[in-house]
Amino acid sequence: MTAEKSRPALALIWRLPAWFIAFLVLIPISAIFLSWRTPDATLLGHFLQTSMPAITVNTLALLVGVVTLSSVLGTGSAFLVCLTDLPGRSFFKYAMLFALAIPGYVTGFVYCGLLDFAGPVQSMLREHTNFSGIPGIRNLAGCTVIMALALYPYIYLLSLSALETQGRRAIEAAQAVGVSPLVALRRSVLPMALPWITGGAVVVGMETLADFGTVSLFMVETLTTAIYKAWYGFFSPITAAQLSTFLLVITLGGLFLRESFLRKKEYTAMGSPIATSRPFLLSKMAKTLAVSTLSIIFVAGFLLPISILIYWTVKNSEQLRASLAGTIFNTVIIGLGVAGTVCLFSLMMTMAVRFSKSRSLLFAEKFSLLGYALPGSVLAIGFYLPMVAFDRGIAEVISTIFGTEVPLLITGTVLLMITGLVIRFFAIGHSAVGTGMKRINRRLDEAALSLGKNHQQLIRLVHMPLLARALVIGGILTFIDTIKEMPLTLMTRPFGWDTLSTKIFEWTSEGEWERAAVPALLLTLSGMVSVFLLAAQQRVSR
Amino acid sequence: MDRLLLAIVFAVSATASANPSNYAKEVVVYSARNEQLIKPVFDQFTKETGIVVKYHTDKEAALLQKLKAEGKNSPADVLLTVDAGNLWQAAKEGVLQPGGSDYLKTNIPEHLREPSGLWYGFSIRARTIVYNPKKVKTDELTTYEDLAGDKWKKRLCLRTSQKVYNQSLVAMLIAEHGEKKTEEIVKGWVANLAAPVFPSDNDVIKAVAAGQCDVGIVNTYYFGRMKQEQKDLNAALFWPNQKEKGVHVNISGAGLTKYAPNKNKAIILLEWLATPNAQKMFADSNMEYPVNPKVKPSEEVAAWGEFKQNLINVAKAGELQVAAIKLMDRAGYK
Repeated sequence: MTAEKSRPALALIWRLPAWFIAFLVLIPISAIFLSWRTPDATLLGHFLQTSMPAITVNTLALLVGVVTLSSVLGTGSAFLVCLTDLPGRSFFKYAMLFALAIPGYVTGFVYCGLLDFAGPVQSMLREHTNFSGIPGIRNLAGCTVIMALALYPYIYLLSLSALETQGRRAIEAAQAVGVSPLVALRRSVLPMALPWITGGAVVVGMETLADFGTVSLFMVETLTTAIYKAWYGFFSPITAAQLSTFLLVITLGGLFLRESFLRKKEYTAMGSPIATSRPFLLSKMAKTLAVSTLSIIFVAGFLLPISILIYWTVKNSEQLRASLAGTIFNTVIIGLGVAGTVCLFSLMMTMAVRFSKSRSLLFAEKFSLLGYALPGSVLAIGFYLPMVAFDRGIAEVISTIFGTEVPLLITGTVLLMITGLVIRFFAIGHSAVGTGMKRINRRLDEAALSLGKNHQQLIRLVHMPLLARALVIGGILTFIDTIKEMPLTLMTRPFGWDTLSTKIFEWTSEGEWERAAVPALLLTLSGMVSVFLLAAQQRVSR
Repeated sequence: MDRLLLAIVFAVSATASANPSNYAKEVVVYSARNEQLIKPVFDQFTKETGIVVKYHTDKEAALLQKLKAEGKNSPADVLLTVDAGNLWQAAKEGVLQPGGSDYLKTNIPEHLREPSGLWYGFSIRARTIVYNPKKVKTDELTTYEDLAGDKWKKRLCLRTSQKVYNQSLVAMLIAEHGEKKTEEIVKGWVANLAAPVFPSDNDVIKAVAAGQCDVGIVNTYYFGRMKQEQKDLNAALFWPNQKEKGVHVNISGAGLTKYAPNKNKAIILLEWLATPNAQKMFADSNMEYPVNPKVKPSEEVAAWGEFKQNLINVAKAGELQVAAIKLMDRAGYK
């Protein structure tokens, strides 16, 4: 333990990203709290009177429903794929990830189109049978199912990671002392996988809270639709900011819950994950059931939506002639820019936190995750607009000093756009890196340091190789989320920097969903490339 | 590695600055009218005048806040929207300046522009009744207000109140009947709904055609687009309130921004948009009606028949938008 005291502190530069991101996140958060200074009492009062009760119920019900269903789907699939002798498991292992590539509102739109009264399914039923009473899906229940189908891959990915590295070893170890696999699962494996499962649940929860596209399709009134209404309908960004406070409160509640749940537990990996045994053998019937279930999830969450997208693309093939090459390029550049920045900062932040006892640094790290809780439109109000005002201030100062008119310097630049998106998606990249870091035993650090290596060498020789995979995963998840984002991208993009998601907006804002199929398909394909890379990363370490 | 990344980020940002080196040759438009509709029109403008148009599309509220935040450093010359209410709001927030032009005043009817020239309408869209011709006879239909009556119980489909087109419709009803009566009408509509409100006009038309309901209220161009794709669409348009004040209309219009760097070229663009050929392009591209009375609508649009428009100034839609939304919330119109 004496090695700790004589350790040189990590260079300041490693700690900068933590403070920088925390500072950036502070901007919209302060804007949200400052909005209470000038409340539009009548408008807020109107919301509280008319829709707040329904909104609160809907938001919480959706949150609980989606998180629960996604956890069941995600953890269940991970279990089947990883710890059983499921037939076709090498296919399912990667197939279950594909739903990540399709934006939830696209999946939602496909199903609404199929299952509405006027859609093909109900029309056929009415024609050929007397049965005309199918319940519609444009409600809370339908929305919950569709969102769970779109979001479960986050939990699946993280659960798989946990079970693969720890699960099998734990069960093997348990079997070696005569404990049955089932008991080991319940008593050892699942508890040890909790940081991953709950981490995934937090991601899913925040995505659910911040979602606008899917809930508005299903006509479910949530806090986020209220925020939109305040801004776009009532033209009151102040009220929109005030309503965002409730979003923050719910998010903080969830994060706090998770923290207290996981406190003071060690989750480091137990040696190298070389176990290949399949502890749970399924009966024939169980195998059929498992394969059917996973197939249904795969078809419902990925195969069916993408087939419909392809069908619409073919129907609207004249769209393909429009040159989307530049748009694709922009999308990829922005995605890579954000993912790269997030990974870099996340790595530096993770290192800084690991080698520091500073509680304020730890707090800064946690604080920087809050950007994920804010919908893109809230960041547009709370980050972009203040930055423009700041930019104007600078321009005024410079023009006063130098006597010439100076244009806005950062407004309308890719830099500002990427910064906004980094704030928005930092949490998702960082969660991958952070959980990767947790698995590296601190004794490894101490061993290296006691052998005379300094911090830089420790990071380079020990951490980086072990973390490389986590970094890539974090980068890919950030990339996928970034390219799907719409409102912040719309607001902050420079002239001519249209992306696939802004193209989708151009069509869907006027209800032309089928025409939006071409950019939507391209977006999904970009997401799929990322998912394939993600899958490859999983394979490499085996 | 990190230095390389940092360098890349800076290089990209440096090359992608939005501050054009030469404001003089171009007009910058902030548009809520979608790219696929404005690009061909602006391309034609450039062809005819040599002036390049740079545009940035987004939702109206976002554009408005952007203009406000940018203040006198804003690169925008023109704000183009798809609803008069939004133009009224922009004028109220002080981001527009009067674009005085005799040509525009002469060629655009009074009720479709702001009196002091803060904004002008460039195309008309009517929000009217769509019905199922197999289930409804035209002599059953009369007015928007009548749709609140008992005979339409479980036969009405509506789009969500969240969309500005419905907010403007209700705003106009408030202007005509006052809040109390309008609230009764809206409550009547809600009571007559055959299904929960839909997110889009297209859903309403599909529902009417499929028989889920018998009548709905939609913008004419959605109907037009659907009819183009599905020639045998089981739906038709009806012009209500012909014995009363007329059909509710709205505009897609534009105004000069307060700090327009390129005022003269912007006025040239606005005036060009009111010329017959441009009017035809602007309106026909989205199956709307031209504002310039000298210009005829396209054949398909004309086939829907002529109708009396409500001549109340479309600015009223903006003035009463907040009241309209609150009223709809109170009446339970989601």
